[in-house]
Amino acid sequence: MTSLFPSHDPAPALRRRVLGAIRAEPSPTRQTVRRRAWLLIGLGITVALTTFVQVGGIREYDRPTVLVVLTCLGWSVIASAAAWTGVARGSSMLGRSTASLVALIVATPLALLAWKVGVAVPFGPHMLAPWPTRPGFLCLWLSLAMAVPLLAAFVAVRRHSDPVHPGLAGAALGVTAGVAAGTLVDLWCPVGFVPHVLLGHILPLFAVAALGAWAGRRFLAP
Amino acid sequence: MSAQSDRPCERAFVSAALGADRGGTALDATGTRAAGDVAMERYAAGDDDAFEEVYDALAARVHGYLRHHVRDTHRCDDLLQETFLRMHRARGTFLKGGAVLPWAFAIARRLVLDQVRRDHRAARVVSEAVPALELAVSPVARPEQVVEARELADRLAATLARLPGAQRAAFELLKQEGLTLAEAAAILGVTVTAVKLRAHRAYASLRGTVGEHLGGLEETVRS
Repeated sequence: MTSLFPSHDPAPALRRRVLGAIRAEPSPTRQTVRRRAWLLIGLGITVALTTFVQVGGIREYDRPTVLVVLTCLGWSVIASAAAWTGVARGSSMLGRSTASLVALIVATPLALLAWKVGVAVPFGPHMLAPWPTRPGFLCLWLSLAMAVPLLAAFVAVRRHSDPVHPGLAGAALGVTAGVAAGTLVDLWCPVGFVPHVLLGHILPLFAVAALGAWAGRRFLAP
Repeated sequence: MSAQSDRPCERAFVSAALGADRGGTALDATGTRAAGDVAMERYAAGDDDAFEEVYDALAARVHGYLRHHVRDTHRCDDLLQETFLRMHRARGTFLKGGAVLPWAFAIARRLVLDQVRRDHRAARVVSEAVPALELAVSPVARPEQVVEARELADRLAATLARLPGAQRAAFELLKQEGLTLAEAAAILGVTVTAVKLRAHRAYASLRGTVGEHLGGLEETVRS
């Protein structure tokens, strides 16, 4: 490739300076980073599961078990896909493409809402009936309480790993944490009323995504 | 799967399968991984001595990139040091089979952008001022040819300075740094098509400048 511009060989003194600075500062190897990642993810999941158990765990109420299982299965599949795209980096040192991350952030809440409503419809209209005493704030706070530790773990795992679009990558981590938390909240919450789902189950995704975008800009860039 | 192959189609397949299409694994023309990638891999695995090889493989190109964007020499050296320090801090995140050059460029680019944001006067924004392009002139060239070459270089530099930032960045990464379309796209966080389009528009503007210059010369000759 011809170059219009001259290349600039840095001076030997600069080489000595850079190598000296590198030697003066220890940094974790790949093995250490990997071990730390498993530990952090495990910790995040433990905190989320503990919160889930503390608030009562799985609650079916009048929901058929099949509906609970189907809803959870769908959300789990979406959470897995989100984790594969948002947390794993693929094979590139520059992270996932902007299009993949935007698709994850935009499509995930829509897919979750569609699945939640679509899978409940065949079980009768009462599955989508309003619960006046449950507008959705409890689910909102519970989602946030479980998603934030997961997000913190994801951000710690992916620290220094996205030089191109750290904010977007952070938002994707937020959505992934939100879906994972939402899967647990869905096991706990029997309400299928759409405004409740929007407020208590979908809105937290955007809130955690916004938090993730902030954390990403701050911590994900090398 | 072997990354060593003499057949171009097989090389392309291996390259795509390993993720080179987005700045993933970089295979050179012979189908083997670049020296910097191999050294960085060893460094990420814990071989501290490998960093010197990483530095030697990348420093000149990253420094050239920084020199093109930062006017102050000391600031440029600082940014080079910071780029390598950040790579060092993040060495544990280096993926097996990853390409180190686009990664280094992406980090350097981010540092330059941060620098520009922090202090517009310290960093040279290309749209504000562009150093004269250095065009090769034959030692036996006549004085008027040297003057013509210098005029053309000045006009091209001015055109480059007027280009929108996105077009200029695509042009620089492809033509100045010699990166592939896929690598440039990954660094800029856009699709390969978008990089092609931006670079094409930049070429068109520069071609227009050369055309105007040559037209002007013809006029002069005729008159």
